[in-house]
Amino acid sequence: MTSDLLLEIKKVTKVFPGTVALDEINFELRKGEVHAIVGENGAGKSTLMKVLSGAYTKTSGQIFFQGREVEIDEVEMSQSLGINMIYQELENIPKLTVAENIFLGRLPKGKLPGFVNFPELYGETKKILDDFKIEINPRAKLTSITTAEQQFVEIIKAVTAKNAQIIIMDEPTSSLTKQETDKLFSIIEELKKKHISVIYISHRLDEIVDIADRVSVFRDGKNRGTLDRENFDRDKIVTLMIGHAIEETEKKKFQRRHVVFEVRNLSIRNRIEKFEMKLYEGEILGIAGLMGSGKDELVKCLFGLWPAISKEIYFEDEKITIKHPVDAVNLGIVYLPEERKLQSLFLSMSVKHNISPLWLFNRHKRFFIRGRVETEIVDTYIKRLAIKTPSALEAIVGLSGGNQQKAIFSRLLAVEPKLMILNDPTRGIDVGSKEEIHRIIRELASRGTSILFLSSEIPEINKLANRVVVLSKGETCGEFTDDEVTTKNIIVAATRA
Amino acid sequence: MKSKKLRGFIADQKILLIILVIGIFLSIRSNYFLTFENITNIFYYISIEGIIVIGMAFLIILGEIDLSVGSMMALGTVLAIVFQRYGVAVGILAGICGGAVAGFINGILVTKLRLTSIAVTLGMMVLLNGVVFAITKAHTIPGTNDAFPLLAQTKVLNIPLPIIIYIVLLIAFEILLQKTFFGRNIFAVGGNITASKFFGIKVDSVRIACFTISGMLSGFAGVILAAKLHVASGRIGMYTALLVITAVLLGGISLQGGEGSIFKAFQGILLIGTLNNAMVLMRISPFIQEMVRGLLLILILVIDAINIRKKKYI
Amino acid sequence: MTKEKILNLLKDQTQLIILILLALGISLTTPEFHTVNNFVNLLKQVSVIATISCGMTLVVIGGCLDLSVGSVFSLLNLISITAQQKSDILGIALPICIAIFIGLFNGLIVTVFNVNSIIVTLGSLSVFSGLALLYTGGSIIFGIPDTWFAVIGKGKLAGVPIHVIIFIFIAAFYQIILMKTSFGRKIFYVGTNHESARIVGIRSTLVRTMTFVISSLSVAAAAVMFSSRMITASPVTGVGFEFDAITAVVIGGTSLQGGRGSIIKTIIGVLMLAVIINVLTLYNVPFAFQNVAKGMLIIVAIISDVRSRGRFEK
Repeated sequence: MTSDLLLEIKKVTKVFPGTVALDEINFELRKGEVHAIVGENGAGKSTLMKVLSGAYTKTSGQIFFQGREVEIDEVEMSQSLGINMIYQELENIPKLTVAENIFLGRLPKGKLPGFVNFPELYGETKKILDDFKIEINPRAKLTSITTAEQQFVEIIKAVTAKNAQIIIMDEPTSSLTKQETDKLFSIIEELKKKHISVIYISHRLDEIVDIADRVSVFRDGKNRGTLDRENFDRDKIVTLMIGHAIEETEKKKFQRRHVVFEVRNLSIRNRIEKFEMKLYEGEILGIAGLMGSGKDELVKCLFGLWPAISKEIYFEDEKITIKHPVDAVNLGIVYLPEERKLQSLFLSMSVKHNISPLWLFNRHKRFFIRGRVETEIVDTYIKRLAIKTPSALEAIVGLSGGNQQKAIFSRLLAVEPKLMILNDPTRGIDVGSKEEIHRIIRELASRGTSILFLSSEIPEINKLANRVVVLSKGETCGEFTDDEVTTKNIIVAATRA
Repeated sequence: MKSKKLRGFIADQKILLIILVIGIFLSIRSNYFLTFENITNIFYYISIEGIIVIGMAFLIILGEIDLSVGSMMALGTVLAIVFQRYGVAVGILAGICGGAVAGFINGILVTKLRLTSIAVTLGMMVLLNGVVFAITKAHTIPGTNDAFPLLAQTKVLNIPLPIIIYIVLLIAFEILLQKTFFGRNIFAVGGNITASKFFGIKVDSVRIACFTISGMLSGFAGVILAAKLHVASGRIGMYTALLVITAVLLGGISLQGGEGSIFKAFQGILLIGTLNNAMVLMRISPFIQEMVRGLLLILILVIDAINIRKKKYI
Repeated sequence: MTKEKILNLLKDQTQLIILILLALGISLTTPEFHTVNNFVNLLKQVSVIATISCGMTLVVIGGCLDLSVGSVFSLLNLISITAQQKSDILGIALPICIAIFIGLFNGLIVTVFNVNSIIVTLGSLSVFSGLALLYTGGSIIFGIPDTWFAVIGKGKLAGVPIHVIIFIFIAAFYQIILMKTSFGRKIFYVGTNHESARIVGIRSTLVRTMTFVISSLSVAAAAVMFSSRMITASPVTGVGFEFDAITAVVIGGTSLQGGRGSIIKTIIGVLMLAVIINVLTLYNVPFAFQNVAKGMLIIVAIISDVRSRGRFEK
């Protein structure tokens, strides 16, 4: 039995400043098996995968590969062992052909030195594709085949180019149709036949039931249990995911008075189909959904950052149009982007200049900037949100992630918004700052600000939201109000892809 | 399936179609257009900048750009004129080497110091301009070797030598681009630099090589120009960068990089040559011609940008 | 004032220190340098380029470049003189009005279609240059001398040339706009990260277009100053000005990547450039080599900018 154990992870711990991401976790993988991993965001799935792929180094513990102990301290090491991660953002060259992508960096040599042997290239590629029973033209440009097919090419590349023994797939079906998913599964079957193991990370319990030999459930950096195929039971899995007796905080029934924000008939090309939503004054509405649900584009569209095919928005009972963020901001709607470094921060500027822009251009609204007033406002918010910085003139890059996010929050609060749209507000932040931000959100809501927020952490949504809408592949597949908001309900709805 | 392929094929040739249309229009308007002499003139005109277009195509497919090509060409001309006293071959070599060195420096600055190609080649353009001015001292220098102009004047089968050289270079570099490892690496790097690095492609070497090639070809174009004019002056190459970039874009190669061919780039410069010929035949003032070139570049940039934007929200 | 604070202060003022050291060093070695005559000459020549550089500073802080300023200068020079033949006031007003349209043309194409400003303005450079040449057919035109129009260029107020005073006013005006107004602050945000700027409700299209308009307006002012002094115009008076302006902006310490800079830095850059060129002239270095120097300066300045920028973008 142990002889076909390909990978063994024993008591591996990974510590980051402020968090323990992996807590003496155990995991094993047999040769040729499909082993699924389920768990909430922050449970440790992606951290473990990063440790396996060499992106992170473990703090302690042991990893055994084919019985030998190994130290995976860099990506090349992981690759040479045959561990391969299929990235969601496909690492390929879109404008080249399928064949050239599969053979990237190892094109077959032609007769003359320096020349490529194209007939062999296409011939070999066709052979490989046939082997996996995939019907794609090797000469087709990668952009001309579907996203699903591109993903299949990625998998084939991993198997052939890098002699993969273990293929790690992270939410591979998030943008696939039913047929494409079936095709993916048949490819996985072929992988099994070739004795290649697959670590399959997914939230979609229906699929896992179909394809996996075993399922391990992670929570809080530990492996809470591994179930064999015969013992698959959705309830059991969900319970393991949530843990025993989570004190569901008493959800007081929220007094819904009047509708502040209403969306009707919102359709976004290839992403969202006729979405509808109402938001009440002082309400915290959470939107949950897996990757591919479209929630990201939905929110961006509401703020004027993504085009819609059709869109009807009502703000305080008046029909409004939002074509550019400035339209939203003028109405009192603000947005917190998910990518702090790329979309929120002005990296080369000071803390002060990062806090003041919204206020300067929407409240202060003067031709000449009153420097003293600006400094006062900035200092007020630094104090109010307890932002740790030696001074307001300090460069923003010197602050920790949590304090940076608090600075961005100050920016939004300074204009006393009526509606705040938050896209993953506590991403990449230490636990302490997270708590503070949660406190700020609750306080704002109690004072009448309406909050619409996205998060990939279901416990966070559960903690904060008065109401939750669950999206899947562009459509609403569940809505829970007040005491219906429980981690279990959300997870069940979200995983029922 | 077949009709889609056919439509795709026709779309690829749309520049040739435009050229055809202009050609037909001109042959009606002017008796002179369809003469052997005129057609040869068009090719003669484009055979110099066309060589530079080859190098620029390589760089744009790579995802870079080179604004210094005009100055590198001028450098080539000047060096060819100055060094031809030691022999025709020396003159030719001097021009090519000068360009190669300049291109190599561009490549080093971009890769090792990680500066953007626009900034570096902008600086190089100004610098080389100064060098050329310094050598010519703002006069025109005549060539000293009477054998040198033969490079431009010799005819083979009644076709001027520069045209033949150009066609040979076109074919050679297209093969290099499409059929060799080096060429395929250019596409890979231009398409996704991180993935290329990951799979073991030596990205820096590819970039330095392409900048050097651009320099060499620009220098060589300058040599041919030296043979054609038999003088060197500081005013050479002022609008070359503009023309060459317009040609590459007109041919359908996107500034984003990752796709294209020398044949496409050729279509672009042929279109410019035909348009130019049209304007000359219709006796349009050279000043208006200059305006047209500028507007053409702006137009093609806008079209390219719109195409890129369309793909953003899919 | 702790030692650390002083050091920090000094680091920010590197360019100013270099300028002072340069000036000191040169005046010690070259007797002709610190004659009043020489200084006055220096300032006189500088005011035209300095005015253009002020406008360019705003464009660069916004993250773009305007390469067309040279040919726009020639064009506005022509327009100013032609208008002055009819009336003095028209000689001032017309270039300013036309400049607004030119700025809109450049700005809207760059921002609405999201095209690279360097290549677009390279195209518009050709368009306006061709227009200027077309207008006069290459020859010089003359204005009407001895009117009050000439006061701007030749007059003095308390011993200081009026055009220098005008320049100082424009520079001060731009600096105030940049540092003290909402609009000016928006330019910094847009130049730093125009995606983030959009999310805080800044219309970066509008802001950047306005910087192009302001740049063209400062070119108009410079053209009027020049026209007033020379009372003549030719279609090539502005050739090369774009590079002088960019060189001045870059060596003054404004970052080509956008988001940082000031008018004062640019003025220091202009002075440095003027001093260097003045010295080269005094030493009888041919004009040609000056371009070489400029090219190298641009490259050096860019390298040091990228190095210091690296500190921030970790």
